[in-house]
Amino acid sequence: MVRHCELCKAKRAALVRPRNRQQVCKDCFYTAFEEEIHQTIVDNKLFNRGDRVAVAASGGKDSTVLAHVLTLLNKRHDYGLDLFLLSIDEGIAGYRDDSLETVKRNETQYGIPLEVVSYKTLYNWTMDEIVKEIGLKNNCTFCGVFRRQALDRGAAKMKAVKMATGHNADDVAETILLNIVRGDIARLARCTSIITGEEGALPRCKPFKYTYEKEIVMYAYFKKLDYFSTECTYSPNAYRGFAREFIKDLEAIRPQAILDIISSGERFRIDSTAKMPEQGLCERCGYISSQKWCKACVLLDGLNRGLPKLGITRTRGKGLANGVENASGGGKLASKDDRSPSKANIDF
Amino acid sequence: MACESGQGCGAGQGCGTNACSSENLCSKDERVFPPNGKKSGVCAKCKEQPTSEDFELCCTCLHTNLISKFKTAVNQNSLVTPADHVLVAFSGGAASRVALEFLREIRLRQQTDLDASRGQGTRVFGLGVVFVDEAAAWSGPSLDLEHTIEEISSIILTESERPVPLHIAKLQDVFEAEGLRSSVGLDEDVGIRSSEEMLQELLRNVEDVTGKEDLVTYLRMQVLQKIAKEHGYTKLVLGVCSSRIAARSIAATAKGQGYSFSADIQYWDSRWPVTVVLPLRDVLARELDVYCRLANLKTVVNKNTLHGTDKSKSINELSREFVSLLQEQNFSREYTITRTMGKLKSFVFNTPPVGPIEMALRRRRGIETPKPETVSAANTVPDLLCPICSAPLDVRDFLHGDVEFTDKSSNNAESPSVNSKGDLPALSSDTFKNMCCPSCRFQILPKNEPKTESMVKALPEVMRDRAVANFEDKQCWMRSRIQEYLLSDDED
Ligand SMILES: [Zn+2]
Ligand SMILES: [Zn+2]
Ligand SMILES: [Zn+2]
Ligand SMILES: [Zn+2]
Repeated sequence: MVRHCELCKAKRAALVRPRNRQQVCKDCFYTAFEEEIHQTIVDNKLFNRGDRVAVAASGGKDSTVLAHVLTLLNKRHDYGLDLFLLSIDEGIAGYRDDSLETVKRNETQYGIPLEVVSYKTLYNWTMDEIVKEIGLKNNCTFCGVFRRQALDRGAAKMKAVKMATGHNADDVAETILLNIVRGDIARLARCTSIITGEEGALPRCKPFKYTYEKEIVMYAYFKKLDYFSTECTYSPNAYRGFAREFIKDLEAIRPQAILDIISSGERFRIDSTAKMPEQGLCERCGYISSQKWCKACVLLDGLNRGLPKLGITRTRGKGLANGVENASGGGKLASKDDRSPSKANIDF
Repeated sequence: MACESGQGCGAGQGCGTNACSSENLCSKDERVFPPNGKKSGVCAKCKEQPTSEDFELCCTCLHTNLISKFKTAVNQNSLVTPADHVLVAFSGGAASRVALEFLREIRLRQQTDLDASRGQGTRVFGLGVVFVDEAAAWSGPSLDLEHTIEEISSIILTESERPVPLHIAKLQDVFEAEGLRSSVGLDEDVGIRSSEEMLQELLRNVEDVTGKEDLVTYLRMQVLQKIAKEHGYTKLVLGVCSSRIAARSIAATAKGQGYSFSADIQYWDSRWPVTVVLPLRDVLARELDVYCRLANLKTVVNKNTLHGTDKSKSINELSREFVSLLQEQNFSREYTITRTMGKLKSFVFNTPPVGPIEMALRRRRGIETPKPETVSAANTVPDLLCPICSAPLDVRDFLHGDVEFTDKSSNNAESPSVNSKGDLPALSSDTFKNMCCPSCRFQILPKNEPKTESMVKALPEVMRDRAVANFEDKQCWMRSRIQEYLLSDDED
């Protein structure tokens, strides 16, 4: 018996939507997928006409589909956006070289320009060199901090006013759970925002906030989008793994659960007192930071002084070690002393 | 995926959480219990008594520790006062067992003190125990119910010189006094059914495993309330401990109950006819289990709850497993989760009333008394509770609720037959749905129309009445917003 598409009732159903288990044909899937993202963009006023928008592009599936869908919607609904791809070269031989090739092909496929910013030029260290120093254990701490800044700087250099990232619904749900489990109420309050960093120079937004990871893969697969699917060579074995597993199990029982976690996250009644510590600017590089030095500068300083564990290792006690721990606190809800590390604490 | 996505930290901030391989970086102030102190065999506190079961404290020290947490919770939140009549919901498990034991102990001490001082006019609080048999919900005939009750009776009645009344109830008692009276909307030919049949018919309507489990929990609470009310109790004690709260936090998050969840985990919850209190909120399940064994407190395994539904499809079960997995990695994880969720804002009904003496005491101790939220009466959105689960409704659902459903129900007579005074009004199933929280709409109420209708009819009267009251409150509120444009006082 031929199953007909539940939406158009005409064509043969080709797939089951992971989001709601609806049986639909490919065309209806594309339309639904794209228009749901359009709806998210419109409902949340993610962009304004004329915005110059950096699309964070890693060559992975999320960012590849994001670049594709944004280009398409920009034309279809006449957003009037000036889009470009922004990519980071971390300097990871094999992994990044290949994925950069993918992004370069995307550049021609979508007809939007590409900008590449490398760790080497920004920090004078490649990720491979960093790993040689610190070993495999904490490299993702570096990667996360450095990449974030690198993207911001690349975007600023290209005069972007906004950045779109490929975080999907699964990522957001996972982050919500992690913040609960870690007891980080301040982050829990912020992590569901679809636009972050509005107070800074370059707001970031997540057009895929409500888009299921499985549907992104499905879209890329059926559209035969060119993406790079190998995990980062230095991919973390992280604690995150537990949360990810849990979400996959939940999704199997009840697909709606991913959206429900996000909805819970959006609706938690969190007192405004649990909000962010004040943001200032890094005294060294001028990047936005709640501490004297931004986290990248602290990590970098450790690397350059041959003490790469600075800013990573959690140290108890007082004096220098304590100062470094404070400085590495990043955006965490900090006590009063954390916010104003005295000069004596960090001896450069 | 962290590195692959190329976008840094999911939290949107710069800590590199995406990557956090050392999760220490993100969490401070964790009290890590040494899983096994080097010097095994000797109590970590008194350094004298021997320990067992790999637990760090001896029985005496564990008792001191637990009862002081219990008393602190009770005293700081005025959970139990001498004027109270306290009903302990006993499940047979360690938590409610310990709650009962501690209340007995505290009462005995108060009595002794009172006798010694020959104080007149003061008295100690009253105590009773209730057990709700849920067998009918899961497997039909009660397995070993008699045996279970015998065991419970032996725990409750024997050892104490002043016996505590024990109430045995069944889950289907929620329909009691309803079976004979056919309410409006119920098919005439249904005739008289037993309350057990009514319960089973209700549960048959719920397809989702988690939804069914939760509905049983909600019904159980209604039965507890009913018993408490009937026998003049003023407080209902639940043995909800920190570990349970941790698992429920995760489950509630996954069910989309983020808005209302904080209401369920406070010491004090007065949204019910009889106020519910949680004196064990700060204690871990493991501590309670160990204490019961060390102190020889008998617990009863309630066999009926063990094989009910397909556990592998339960979000509650999955969340429990997730949290215990995390707890294995870090012994303070459950506390951390409970503390996080404890920071969420609670509701007005979660604040215990503070008497003048307590107020003075608090001022001396430097404890801040939260001011009750001032409510401006006119035009405020009414505080409504979900008819099924009693969760406070979020204004956002409340306002948008209609939009979602009315297109289907517009020809379906939105207004209930409230006007015919004296009769029980019946709501259309769509309207009923609109009065429920999103979570109940999704996991308890059926998706398609005819089924919803039979489901709504099968719900106990308390829940249907709540929906009607909600509807009236909402109408009233809507009316207040358009008042100035209305020309006559007519309803229609
Ligand atoms: Zn179709
Ligand atoms: Zn800096
Ligand atoms: Zn001891
Ligand atoms: Zn509900």
